Amino acid sequence: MSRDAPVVFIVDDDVSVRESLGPLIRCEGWQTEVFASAREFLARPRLVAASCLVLDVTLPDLDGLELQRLIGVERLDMPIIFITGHGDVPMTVRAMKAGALEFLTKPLDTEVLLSAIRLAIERSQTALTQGAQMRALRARYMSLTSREREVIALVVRGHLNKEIGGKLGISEITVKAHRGKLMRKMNATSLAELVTMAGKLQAAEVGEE
Amino acid sequence: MVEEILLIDVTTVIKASQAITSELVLHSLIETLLRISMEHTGAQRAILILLRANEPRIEGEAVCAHNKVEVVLRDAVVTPADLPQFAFDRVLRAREPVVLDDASADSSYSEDEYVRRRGPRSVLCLPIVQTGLIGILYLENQLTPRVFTPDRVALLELLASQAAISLENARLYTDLHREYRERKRAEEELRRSEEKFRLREEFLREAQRLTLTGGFVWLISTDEIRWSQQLYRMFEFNPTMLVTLKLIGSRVHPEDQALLGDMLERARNEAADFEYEHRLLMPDGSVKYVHLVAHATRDGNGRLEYIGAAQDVTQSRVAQDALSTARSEFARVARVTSLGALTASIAHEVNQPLSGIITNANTCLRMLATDPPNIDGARDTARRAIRDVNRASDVITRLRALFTKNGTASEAVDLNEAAREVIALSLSELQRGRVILRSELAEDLPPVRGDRVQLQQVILNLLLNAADAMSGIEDRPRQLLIKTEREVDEGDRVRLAVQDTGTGFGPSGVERLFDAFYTTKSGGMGIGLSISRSIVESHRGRLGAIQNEGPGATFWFSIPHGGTS
Repeated sequence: MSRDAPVVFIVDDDVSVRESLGPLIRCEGWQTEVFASAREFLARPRLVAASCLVLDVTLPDLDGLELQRLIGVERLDMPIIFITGHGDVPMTVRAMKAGALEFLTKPLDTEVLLSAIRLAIERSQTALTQGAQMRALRARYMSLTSREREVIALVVRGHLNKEIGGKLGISEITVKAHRGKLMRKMNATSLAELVTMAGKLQAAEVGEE
Repeated sequence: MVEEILLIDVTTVIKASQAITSELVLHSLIETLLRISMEHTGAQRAILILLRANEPRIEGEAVCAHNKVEVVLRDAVVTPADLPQFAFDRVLRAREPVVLDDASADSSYSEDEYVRRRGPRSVLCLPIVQTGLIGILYLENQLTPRVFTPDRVALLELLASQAAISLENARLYTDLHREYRERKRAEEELRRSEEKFRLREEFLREAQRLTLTGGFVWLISTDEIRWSQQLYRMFEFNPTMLVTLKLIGSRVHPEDQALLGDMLERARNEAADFEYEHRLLMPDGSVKYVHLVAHATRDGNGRLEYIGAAQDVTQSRVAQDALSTARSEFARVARVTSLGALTASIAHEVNQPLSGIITNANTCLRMLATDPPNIDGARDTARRAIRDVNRASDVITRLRALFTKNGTASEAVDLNEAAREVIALSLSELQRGRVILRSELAEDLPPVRGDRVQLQQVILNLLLNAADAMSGIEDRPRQLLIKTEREVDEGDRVRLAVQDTGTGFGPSGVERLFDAFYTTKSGGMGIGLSISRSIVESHRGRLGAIQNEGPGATFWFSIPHGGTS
């Protein structure tokens, strides 16, 4: 079990469940961190690594669904697997709508739980990779000068160099020079790639608003 | 007119006479007589006195003023200020006319008060005779002497005799009229009271019709029964039919015959007010529910009779049945729901350790399957599994404790009183099940110490169980006897027994009867008796049941009294 191994967080107030899940999950090569309440878990600093959360619905202080709401939907890097002693349909629907990956009832089927964790870790890793790519892309964009950003905005909308020069009040030659520079800075090999990058950046911005 | 010398002719007499005889109404006659007397004699003042029950009273007075005769009807006693007393007395006594030519000039009358004060000149005082003196006519002239000449007196005498007849007639007529009015008033009163009575009867009939209530009277000694129309309508019998108990019985629902028999027997023996509800089976197969209230009373000869009312309560009963069905359905749902909630809670409590056990067992296997096997880990995991198994078993123990837990209040409880309250509460339920309830509550029952409400729950449970056990019985009366007594063998115990004529439980049933979840009822939960037993036992008592000699079973409990806590 390496220190880079994905982490499975377990939050359950029941000692039998809590203490049995740890060894099982560690057997599969994942790290575990076990909490008896939602607040204990919330007190832990956020981890940037592949992880998932095995969460009991009925907790003494703050129930699982509340905790899910507090963690927030943007935490794609930490999917939630709900476990419950008496799940009902409305509760399941609520949890799944709020983005839960799985909803399992106790007594837990070991294989079903482990495959759910496996899927959750995969999703987490994908989300982390995407997040890293996005951060890199944003860093490249941030390295552009304000003039270059003006040029890129018009380029991706399909304007010709001549038109861009006209709009910005600069010569076509200068536009060409900015364009070459920003292509290099953005690490784009074609106009199509640049357009895709701009699309991703824009989507992320919209998502953050 | 007064100064004129009047010629008395036959025409005048006839006219005057006609005028007088045509008057039938007494006061009109008085007026006419006075007027004519004045007009035809030249008198200035006239008084008519009539004898009423031998007492002379002034009935009218006429005076001449400004050449006109004015007549005033009076009703007053005769005083010396009205006319010369001597003349009045003489006429009253001798019934002969008194005629004075000039009273004021004659010294023999100067003593008279009236003559002295009023100074009449001509005076005429005339008796009115008709088989006896009926009145007196007095006339005077204060200015002229010798007004009443013999021919005028003769005319007046003639008129007076005519007047006498007319007066008598008028009096008769008045009497007749009064009598007629009185009779009329009496008749009117009679009519009005008859109308009132008729209205009241009609109102009663209408009320009976509207409320679907009929009245009846039942004389016990002769079994004579009288019914109101509404009752005939209710039973759908022809109103001409003679009501007998047999006739009534022919309409009573076959299943309620026993109830009717019980009611009749009780009514005969107890002479007390009673109230019953039973069903009628009509010729068209429909069923009516009748609510009966009767008041025991004695007739004029001291014989027992019941006066009562019977109301058709079919509509409300149908509604009540629907409500009752809805209520029991609701109760069933509530019971299932609470059982469901209980199940969920039990499931959760047990699922936690169960989940631990399964996961630990799986982990254990995995640890043993690695190469090399993780023996220490497997051992720890197995230990955790064992711990979880113990935990699950603890949950079960805790649940059992939860169900048998009771915080019992302790007070002096009169079992009779407690039973009466329960009976009162469940009476309608029992009646609905057509159960005939009888109670034999011992008078000298000592109180027991315990929780009144819990004991009442036991009694209620026994009563309702008994009623349930009889709900399918159609071939015999559904009789329920609730009985309290001191246990003489074990002197310090009080016993309450509920005996039914139901299905009983058979010899094999007795052993398992008090186990939780054992039931002979299709819809029952079987929890009642086992709870009842734990309540009785918490009162240091015993709950038991025996099969009756006849049909049905008897459930009983006995609790120590005195000195127990």
